[in-house]
Amino acid sequence: MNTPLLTTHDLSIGYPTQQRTVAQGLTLSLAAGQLVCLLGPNGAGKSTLMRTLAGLQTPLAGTVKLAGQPLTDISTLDLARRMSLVLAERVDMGTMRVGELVALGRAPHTGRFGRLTAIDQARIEQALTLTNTHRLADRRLHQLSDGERQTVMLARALAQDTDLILLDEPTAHLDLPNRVEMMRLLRQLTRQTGKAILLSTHELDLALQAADTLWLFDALGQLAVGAPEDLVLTGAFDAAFDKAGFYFDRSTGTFTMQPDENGPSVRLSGNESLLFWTRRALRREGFAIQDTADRTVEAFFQQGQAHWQYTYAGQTYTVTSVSDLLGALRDDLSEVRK
Amino acid sequence: MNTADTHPSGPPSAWSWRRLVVPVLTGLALFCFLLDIALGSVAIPVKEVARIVFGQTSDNEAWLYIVQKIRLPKAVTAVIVGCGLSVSGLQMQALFRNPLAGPSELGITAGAGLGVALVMLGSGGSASLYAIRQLGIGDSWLLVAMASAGSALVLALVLAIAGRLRDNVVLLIVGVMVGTVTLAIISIWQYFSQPEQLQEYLLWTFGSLGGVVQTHLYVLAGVVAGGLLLAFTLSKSLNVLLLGDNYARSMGLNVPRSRLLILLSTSVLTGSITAFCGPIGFVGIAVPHLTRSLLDTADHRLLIPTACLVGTLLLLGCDILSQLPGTQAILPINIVTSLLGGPVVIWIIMRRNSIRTAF
Repeated sequence: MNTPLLTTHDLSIGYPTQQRTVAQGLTLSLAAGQLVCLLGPNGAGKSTLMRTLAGLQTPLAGTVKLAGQPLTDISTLDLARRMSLVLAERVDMGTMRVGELVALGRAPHTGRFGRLTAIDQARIEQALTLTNTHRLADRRLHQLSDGERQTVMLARALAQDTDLILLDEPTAHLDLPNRVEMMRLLRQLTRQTGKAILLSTHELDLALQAADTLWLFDALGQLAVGAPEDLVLTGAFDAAFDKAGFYFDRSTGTFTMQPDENGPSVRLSGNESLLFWTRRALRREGFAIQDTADRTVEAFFQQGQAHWQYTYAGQTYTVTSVSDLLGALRDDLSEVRK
Repeated sequence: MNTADTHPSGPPSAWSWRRLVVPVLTGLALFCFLLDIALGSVAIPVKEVARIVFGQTSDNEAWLYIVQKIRLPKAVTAVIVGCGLSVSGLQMQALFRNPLAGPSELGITAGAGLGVALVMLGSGGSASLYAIRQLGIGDSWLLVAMASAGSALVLALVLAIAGRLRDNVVLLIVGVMVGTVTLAIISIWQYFSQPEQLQEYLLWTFGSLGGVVQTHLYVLAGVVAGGLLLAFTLSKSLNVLLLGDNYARSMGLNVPRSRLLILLSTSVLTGSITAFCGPIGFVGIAVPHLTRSLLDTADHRLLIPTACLVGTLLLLGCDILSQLPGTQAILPINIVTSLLGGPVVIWIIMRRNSIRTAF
């Protein structure tokens, strides 16, 4: 077991001027080589915790320690050599080039005038290689897409060569392929470099797949810690995102819109590979899936062709697409309403 | 660092001609320096001018006097003003992370004017060209100190307000407002002044490179050299501050201390120059942009020395134009810099399409 790099003891976070405590009693630890995702609904305190851990905001009570040393005892320069940040704020400097930006990451290691040594150059090269951003080095920042921009900000943090990297919502504003790529990259970095990485994110399904550990805030500021799968099985996810209208489906690990309780219900059976998508279609259409329902749908393959057999009130229809199945169900329901 | 050092894969054609920027600018600046001295109501051959400037001798006593006592101090003042205001603007644009920041745009020169006015009030005179020329070397230090303090006061005020703003253009409006209030305070004092003092004050507001006598030149040169040196030692901090306060702090920068030193350097540069030469507009905002587009970099270690060259060239050029070649008339320098500088700023904003990327 690794010795923890970042620890907090009985930490309270919030805003003293507004007399608002966001969360309290937080005792957390983050070990080298770990990817930790901080999750929670909007306003639960993710950003406040990130800012406090980064030393940008003072805790209301308790301590944050980096390798056993309280954050308040570490000088700004020393801290910069041990912890780097990627912030959610957008940096606007049109004429700066990516190469210059990444080289700025060496600032805590260089002298008064920032002259780069061979070691600095090597670290910059390494950061560009790890993030696969060599091809962007001559581009200006304003020429980059949002995904590229976040990646080069990460490259800058890597050039800073710290044991710990904190990222505040690095996947916000990114499209799906870029979000997946960013998470894959972060996970790969923890494995390749042994760095500890903490990121806050809204990407539940990506966090479930990529994180070693989740820190999960609920709406009341309670923090649950554990392996993603444990948090799913103990119901912490349901509690954290408890809201009317949808629920967390433990079997699929996704949030699903809650069907209307007074709506129609269907009994579903048949071939396993067809069931998943049939279930989704039926739920979207507003049907609850219940074993006691008097409408039945059976999905099966016949001569390599998918079939759905729908039975209700003694009548049976057989269709060969989900679209036709939903059409038949709709016709039936409108008959009943008349 | 140079962009080419960090990634040798860069396009070679894009930077080979940029290597020539500094030598060409230096040559042009030297040429304009001599031309500026050669031109004037009395025609003196350029060859003679070069002999007097570099050899300190000439057969013609009148030429020797004109060059040594009048034209050389004026040209040296142009160089000092060009360097000082340009670097002042460069620092302000990094400090505010705003391409529209500049000493005259954010009311800093107005603050210096307030300092000048206070000195004159205290000594019972008026803030006039005449009064400034009569000051002894001790008083001129007091003038520089008060003008710098006035600049620092306004700069700190605008900086405090800027902390609550996100919008570049709104900051400009705040700067104009703070400048207006400062000028209004000066106007109150003007209102109770004698008409001849008012006339002198108006002349001061036009700006003049010729009003700096030799003893004051030493003071001005020393103070501006100090300010430039301080700015250059801050170039790494300026680079890191481009990423914003939070990033700068996470990269080990002592942000409050750096801000204070930048504020000090900017105020001293703007204050001392404004005290002796009057408010000279647009140099501080235009030169940083010209320098950035020439060098194509955001690195202040290169930008600061190059901005000095560009500023020198611009001021000498403006001074040559202000003498209205072929006539005896001399235009106030502030009018010339505004006529040239204003369109330059508009051109830059238009060309970059958006001021968010003009930086």
